[in-house]
Amino acid sequence: MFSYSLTPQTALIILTLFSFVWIGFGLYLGKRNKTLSDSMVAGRNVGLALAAATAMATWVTSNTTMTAPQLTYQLGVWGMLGYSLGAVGLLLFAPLSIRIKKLLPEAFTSGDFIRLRYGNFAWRIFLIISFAYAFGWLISLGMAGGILVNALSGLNYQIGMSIILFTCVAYTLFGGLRAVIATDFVQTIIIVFGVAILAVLIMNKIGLHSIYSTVREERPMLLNLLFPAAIMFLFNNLIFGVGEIFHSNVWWSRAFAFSDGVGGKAYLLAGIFWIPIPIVAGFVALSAPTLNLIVPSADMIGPLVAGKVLGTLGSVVVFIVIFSALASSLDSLLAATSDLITQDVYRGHINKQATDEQCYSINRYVIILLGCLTWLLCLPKITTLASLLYFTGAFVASTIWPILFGLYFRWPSGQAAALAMICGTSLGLLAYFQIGFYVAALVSCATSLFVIFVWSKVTPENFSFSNLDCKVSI
Amino acid sequence: MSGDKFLLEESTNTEFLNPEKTHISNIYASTLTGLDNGTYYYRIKNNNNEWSNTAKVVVQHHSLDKAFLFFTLGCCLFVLIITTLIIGHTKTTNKTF
Repeated sequence: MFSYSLTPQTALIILTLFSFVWIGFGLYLGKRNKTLSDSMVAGRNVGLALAAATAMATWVTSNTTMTAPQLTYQLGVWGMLGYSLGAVGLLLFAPLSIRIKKLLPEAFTSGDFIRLRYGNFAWRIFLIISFAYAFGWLISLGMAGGILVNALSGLNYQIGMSIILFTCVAYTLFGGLRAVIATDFVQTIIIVFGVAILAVLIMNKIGLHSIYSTVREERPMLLNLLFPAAIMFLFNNLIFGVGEIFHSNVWWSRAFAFSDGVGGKAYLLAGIFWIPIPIVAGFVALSAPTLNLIVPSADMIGPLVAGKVLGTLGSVVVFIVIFSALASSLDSLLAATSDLITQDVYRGHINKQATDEQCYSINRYVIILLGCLTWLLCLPKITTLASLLYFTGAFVASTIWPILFGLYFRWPSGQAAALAMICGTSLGLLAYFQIGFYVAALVSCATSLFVIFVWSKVTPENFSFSNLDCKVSI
Repeated sequence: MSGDKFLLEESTNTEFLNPEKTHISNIYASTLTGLDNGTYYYRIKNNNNEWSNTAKVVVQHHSLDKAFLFFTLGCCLFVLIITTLIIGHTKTTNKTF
């Protein structure tokens, strides 16, 4: 029989306790924020330890701690290993962050680069893609919070989701990127130790042999290395991860915030330390058949297994680890998306003469608005986490080539970049609906490569990179 | 179905002579994964020993040809991204821009 491993009261106590800690931390750190630069790029002087921790913690999201088990449950061992290929995005962003800091030392957002490099039309297409992705990710994080609380304690999905969202909005609002980075450091320590403890506890409770024999008998495809959907998923996940990191202002704002010479090393370290996390988290799902567990929705598998195997104490650890992972990503995304709206939409389109002080104030309203909008969109649980997340793969994978070519080569034109993003996203979405979530990013990336290459031959350009080296103004 | 405890049975034949899997639960949905190609039948029994109607599920995976096509496409794209990055990084490392 199924029973919840935590009472709703215990869940509420943990949620409240952690909410107070994070918000208090945000208030304390926010006192040092005096300018737009302090709030948006943490004064541009973040050191290596904090830089590596924030990059890793942000990439350990609900997607790692909850979607990795879901994908293992759906796609087997390839799902688990394929998810860990998400680290490639972080590793490849290491050299890119050096180039970004060199080309745009005064910039605030990824949108600044696209606008200066490719012009207004490509910039607007890029903003649409960025917001589609940011909202997809924000909703998946909010949903994951509600699902986590519900799976472990039976507490209403909407209540858990609302408390977690409120907490993250509050401390991002008070502390800006400085608070986000500092809480990420603490959250990284909790995540790494928590996941290690869970792995040891589960290995001691259920032997590897019983997991293997039950899965082989009852769910043979999960161990089959020729599982077709899983084979397609492998590189799709890698490309999706690369697209997410290359385009997202979450990573660009950190590249601007890190001290000179820190970005490359920080992203490299973060990628290496991140690799084992989804493997450990995903492994948990393979024990579900051994436990004869009924799984109402695939994205609940991680917390359900942990709760069943580890009892109340284990559930508390799982709860704290996933809550930390969620918070570390939700705050980063809120901060980066609000920066993008403030800089690229407000200052770029609505009030071109806006001063830094006006933008600083607008930025705070935008964080609140984003929180409210995300909350509204999370209320109906529209789909599973993986389906929602990989839907955005069609969008972000189309930006890989415009960014990569645009940062290093003179020949890509603005028209070609815009067309590549439009065609890549369109065909990626078509593949998502016609074939499955596990090919959307692949199709989008391949189409974008073809279009930018061919169209740049039709409309050649000889861009001068010195045009990027200016104080960012609209 | 009424009642709050269910027995879920899975079988590869409609008679459920030797059901391969049974689960007892009090929750109202179940996600099944990792099944091989084939036809599977499911039914549920409630507290009052009433059986539900039988649900038929046909599992048909994508072909391996299609899978390897996307695998190769992904592999090529990955190699291209790495190559571009190496060329770009090497070319610009010691330059102002």
